[in-house]
Amino acid sequence: MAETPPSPIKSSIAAALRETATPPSPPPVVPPAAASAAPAGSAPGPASPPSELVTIKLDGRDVQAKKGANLLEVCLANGVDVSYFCYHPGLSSPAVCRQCLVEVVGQPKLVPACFTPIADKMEVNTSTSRVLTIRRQMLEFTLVNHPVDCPICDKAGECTLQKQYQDWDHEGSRSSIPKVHKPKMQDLGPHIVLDAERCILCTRCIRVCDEVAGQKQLTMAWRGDREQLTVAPGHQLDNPYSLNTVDVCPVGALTSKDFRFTMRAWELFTTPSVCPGCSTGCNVEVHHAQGEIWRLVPRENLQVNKYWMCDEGRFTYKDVRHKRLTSARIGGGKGQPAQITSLDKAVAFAAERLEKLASSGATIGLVYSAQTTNEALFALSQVAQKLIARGANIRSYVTGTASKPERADKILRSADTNPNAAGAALFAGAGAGDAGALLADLKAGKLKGLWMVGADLPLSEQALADAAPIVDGLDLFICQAASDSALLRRAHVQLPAAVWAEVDGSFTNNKHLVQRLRKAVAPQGDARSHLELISQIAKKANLASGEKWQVSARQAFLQMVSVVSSSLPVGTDPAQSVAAGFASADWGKEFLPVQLRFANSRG
Amino acid sequence: MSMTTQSKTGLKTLAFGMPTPDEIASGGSHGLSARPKLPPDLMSKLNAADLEEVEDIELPTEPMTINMGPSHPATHGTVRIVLTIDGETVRDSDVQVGYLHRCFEKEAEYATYTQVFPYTDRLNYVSPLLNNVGFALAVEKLLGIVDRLPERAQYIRVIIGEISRITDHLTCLGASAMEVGGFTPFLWMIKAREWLWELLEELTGARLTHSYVRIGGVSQDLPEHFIEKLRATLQKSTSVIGECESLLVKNRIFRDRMDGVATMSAEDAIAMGWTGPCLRSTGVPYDVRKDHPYLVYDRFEFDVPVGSVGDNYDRFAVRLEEIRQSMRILDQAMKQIPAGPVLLDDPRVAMPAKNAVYNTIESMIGHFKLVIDGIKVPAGEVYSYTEGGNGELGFYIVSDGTGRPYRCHVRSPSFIITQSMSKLILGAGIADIIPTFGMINMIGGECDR
Amino acid sequence: MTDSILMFLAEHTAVAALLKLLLLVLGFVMPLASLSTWAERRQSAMMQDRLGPNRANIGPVKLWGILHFVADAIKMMFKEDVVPAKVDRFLFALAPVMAIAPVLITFAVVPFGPDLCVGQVLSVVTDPTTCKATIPLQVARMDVGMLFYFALASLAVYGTTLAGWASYNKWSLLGGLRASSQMMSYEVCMGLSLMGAFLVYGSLEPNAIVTAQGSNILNWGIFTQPLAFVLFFTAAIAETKRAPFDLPEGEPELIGYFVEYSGMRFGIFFLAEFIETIFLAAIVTTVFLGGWQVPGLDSSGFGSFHLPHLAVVLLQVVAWSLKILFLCWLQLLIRWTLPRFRPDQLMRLGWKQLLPLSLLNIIITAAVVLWRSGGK
Ligand code: SF4
Ligand code: SF4
Repeated sequence: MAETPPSPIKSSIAAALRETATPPSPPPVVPPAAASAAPAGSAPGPASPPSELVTIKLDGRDVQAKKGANLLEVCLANGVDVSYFCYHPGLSSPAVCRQCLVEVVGQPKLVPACFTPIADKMEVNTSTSRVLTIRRQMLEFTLVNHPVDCPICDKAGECTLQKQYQDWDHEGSRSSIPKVHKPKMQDLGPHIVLDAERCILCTRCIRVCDEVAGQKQLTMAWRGDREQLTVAPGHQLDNPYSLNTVDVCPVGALTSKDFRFTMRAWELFTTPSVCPGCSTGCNVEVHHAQGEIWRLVPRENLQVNKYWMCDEGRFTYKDVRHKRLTSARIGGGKGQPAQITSLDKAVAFAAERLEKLASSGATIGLVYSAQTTNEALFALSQVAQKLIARGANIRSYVTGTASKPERADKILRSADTNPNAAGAALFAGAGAGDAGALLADLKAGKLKGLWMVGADLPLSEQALADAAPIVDGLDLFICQAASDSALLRRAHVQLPAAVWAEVDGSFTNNKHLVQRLRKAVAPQGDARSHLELISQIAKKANLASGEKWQVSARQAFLQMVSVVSSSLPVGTDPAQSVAAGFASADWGKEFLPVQLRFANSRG
Repeated sequence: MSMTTQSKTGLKTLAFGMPTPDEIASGGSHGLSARPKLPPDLMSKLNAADLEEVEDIELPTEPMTINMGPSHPATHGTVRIVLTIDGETVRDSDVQVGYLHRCFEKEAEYATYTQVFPYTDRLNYVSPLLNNVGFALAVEKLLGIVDRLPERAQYIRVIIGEISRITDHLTCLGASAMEVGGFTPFLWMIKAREWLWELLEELTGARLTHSYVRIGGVSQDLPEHFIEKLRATLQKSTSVIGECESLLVKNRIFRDRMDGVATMSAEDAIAMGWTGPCLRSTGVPYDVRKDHPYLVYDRFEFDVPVGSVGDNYDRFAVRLEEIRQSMRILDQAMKQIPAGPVLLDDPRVAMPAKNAVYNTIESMIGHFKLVIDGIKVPAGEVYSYTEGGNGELGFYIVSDGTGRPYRCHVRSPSFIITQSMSKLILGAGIADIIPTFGMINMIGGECDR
Repeated sequence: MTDSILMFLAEHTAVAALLKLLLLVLGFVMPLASLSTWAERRQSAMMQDRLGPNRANIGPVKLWGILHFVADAIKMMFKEDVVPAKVDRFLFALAPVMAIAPVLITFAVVPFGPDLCVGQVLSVVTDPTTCKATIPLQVARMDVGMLFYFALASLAVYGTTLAGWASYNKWSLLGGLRASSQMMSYEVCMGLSLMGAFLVYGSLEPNAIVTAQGSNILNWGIFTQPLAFVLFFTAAIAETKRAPFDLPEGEPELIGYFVEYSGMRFGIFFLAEFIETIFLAAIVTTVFLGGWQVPGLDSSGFGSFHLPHLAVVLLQVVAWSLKILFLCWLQLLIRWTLPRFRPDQLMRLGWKQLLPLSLLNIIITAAVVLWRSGGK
């Protein structure tokens, strides 16, 4: 199978998996075919000065690459599959697993490709019988003490060891010595369990802690076949990036307490999306099956999160499952119990009241939640103009969840826990107030009506419950929310909103990159996207009908991008202006969820 | 009750929703659009403004549009035929297939290669094993292991394939008798088919949906005494087939119903893409087993029976003779079959032994990967064809290197032969439609896929 | 006591006729027709190596599944009677009646036994014509008996044609058309093929035909009129619309003129068909198989072996029944052996083969009769 040239189809799946809303910069590990299809030498991208290029002979083929580049990376970029365990594109290469040994002509011994910088005229052979034998023997060696655990192992189906064995080995073991046993269920920290028997001692996890999280928490202890991974004495594996060790672990040695034994990896479907945990906007893959999300894993994007994401972000999927508002309710206000009703009725009720209020010239507050998508917020800003045209007095507010300064670090995590603060600020306009202003205006009775797109306020649950009665003075309170809260319960119209994983749309992160969300699961109950709810209310209230943004999320996106970027001088740096981020935004291709078993063996 | 209405041309027409001559002339109404297309000469007559010409016809009649199927009690599978009839004579017909569409090709894209076998069972469901073999050979061709298949497995495939061909033909022949009203020979043939299916059930564990073949061989060896039992069953079947033959072949009514009905010339048959017994009935001796031998077919002596005029009786007779030829092949295969493994010993396609799977990590991984990810087939495309029950059964597979087909297309003989149906029944009587349909043996599962 | 009742019946023929009709229809024809539905399935099953219906039972009474006809009847009666929209309701309801009534009525002319000599039931009767009072074992003795049969039989075609027409379904219309053309064509042949027999036995009255055949088996119609027997039997099967002549209901083609019928209305068509087969058997028995005659049995007994009158009559009635049973069974055999004709072939057979042959039969018979009577 090694001779098989990479198929274009295979690469298109791989490319689709990597595809992001923002144009991705060429990753170092180029998916095999994309690069090989391009003329040799162009792989590292147009940025690299041609003077540094050298030519090596790879399996008899002339290949150009940057001088000093990692040989393994060059191989992978040119579609030559060299098995490896310990190498990781985001980490340093210690060459401990010896799986990537290749033959360099002139060198008596085989060399580890991941540890060999290329030099001009180097001749490399990766599939001579010597290399293949060594590759097989290394695998035999790695498997010598490996337990027969696949059926109960969380990694099964996406295990690199399984993949390498199936791709390169197929032989049985020649050893008859009983296997060495090691501890099976070691608690390493709040999120992680170690099965030392399965560990193949690649040290990837150690390097993740050292190099990504910057905290030296893991180490190797003992020697020989009793060598095993352990936490440093008195420590726990508890850094905020600890679950990345589970992702990088090529085998099922490290498993996530949250995910283990919930779902088989190969049954999951993957949909690319963006983490809603904070304003960094780490790119993630949503792994879902049976209409539920089971885990989030980081998706490579060198501009944003490289290969990583934080532990907290991984658990944001739980809010998609739990405590959801699933049906529309119409309430009497002032904390009286609300009645469940159909979405249509609730929307019609809201629209009728809104229309009346607007034409009476009352002051209406519009809340732009930084937890909602750009498209919804853009739609709200469009409706705001219509309301003004009807004679209403509009006040805009940007709200969101409370920021957490303590979580900010220089790695990925930022203090702002809202994924779309930049977008919300942009669409609410320059004069928009914040949550404090909203509360103050409510208390002062300056508002007659309030329409919250996202009921997120920077208040604790207790504080919110205490503050809730201040909305009782309103004539109309429309609240679109994903989950139940004390505030929501006092609204006249309570509309169930879909959350990030249930909608198509985009978030703008703190670097002003507009990144695409994709619908992974169906909205719970009657929930609809904020965009759809706004559109329906606007239509029923005769504010807007048949507008482009009412057609679909994609149309809203396109209209939004053209509106935002039209007012912008060309060539503005995204770092300076949010709008500049929109200019380079791209909706991307539609994406059908791929089952992991067929996503070309993630292992 | 007004059963008649006066049309503009003055002709009385039955108010059964059939088009009036005006409507026919103007391309029709009734939601059937321009369906009732008439032969041009009749068209021009109906177009004629003066009715004298129409009255030249003995009795002024006009065609009736009538819908046969999709749930007609006698159609094989579900098929709809929109007929334009003049009395009982078919003047035009529109054969509409697709009512049994099950997305075979799309389903195959979502299953590993091994998981596709159960779907192939449901193509031509009268001879599932032939489909199994056809699909397996296509994948094996793509894997490049066709030449390495174990001998015994190849013989087993021939044996089960020929048994299936016999069951296929038995069903078709029996049905042909039933379709002209002879129910008894049908059940006799079905009885013989059942004996053979019982054997296959013993072998595969399932009466109809065998899923017995695997990539690289077959799933298990023949059970004990299989060969002896097969021999005995074939003997029994021969006598049953002889009885049926004497009840039909020399029966004047049966011959009158079959002879000269729905003839097809060899040129037309080739032009229409016919294969299999239907093509051979027109006199073309094309048989994939002879012309492009696969498996071990080149080691057997057998004849390819052909017909002469390509009518229903030729199709009947060719199938009858093919049963005999299949028995001949079976006879030789039973004598020649060697001992040995029945599955290719290649860890890329064959599962490791169960004992090893439970006890060593290596086999465990191998088993796991084959089951979960499927057999990794190198990227590329392949067209592989075998002689199915109804003709050349081809599989076109595109692989992207993963464990499931990127695209899987079936060239199903039924589908291609069915396209000639309109031509065959043009001018025949209503009573001939179903027997003709039976003799081209349109199997819904295979035709609609 | 018995004598006086018989006497009463002999005097009051209308009452006797009613009783005989009841006896014949309720006591023989209907049970036999119902049983035929079961027998047909069992018979076909036997021919086809199947079991057929063998399970219906009332408690432990199983009787090889004979009770299936009871279950069938119950099912038919309780099934929803669907009347499709747009049918002509009156004709739709009339059709099954038209199908079954004529066949039942025609049984009136069938003699199922000799005349019963009232008052001499226990003694030996050598010459029945000498009886003082007789009860004919035949419902209606008419001189035009056979013509009456033809007249009524041709009425049955209305049942099928109307069913096909009234159903407002193209398929049933085609079925009805086929049925009418088929039945009309074969009636001609049927009538003509019997002419020879009428010439030979010199009567149109069924009982007279039977009496004329006598107990000498060689004098029976099947031997005096072998060609007519074959022709009539063939044509009559066509008349009953059963395989190989079941074109009006050929299920792979038309499904049938009764496709829109359900429940008991369908059941009546079904039953009418079976009654027709029994009736066909009765006519064939009467004309060709010596009716109630038993070979060698005269009214006084077998030759010199004398039997009381009642025993003779009983034997003859039983013989009549057995002949009918045999013919019914024969029809089943034919039905499950032969494939079906195509309409054009059917017409060709009827008009071009059977009809000339029956004409030929008449000519030959007439010539022979003329020759034997010495040209007088
Ligand atoms: S780590 Fe991989 S090979 Fe080891 S038990 Fe888990 S799935 Fe199997
Ligand atoms: S636990 Fe996993 S990542 Fe860490 S050394 Fe072992 S195999 Fe490598």
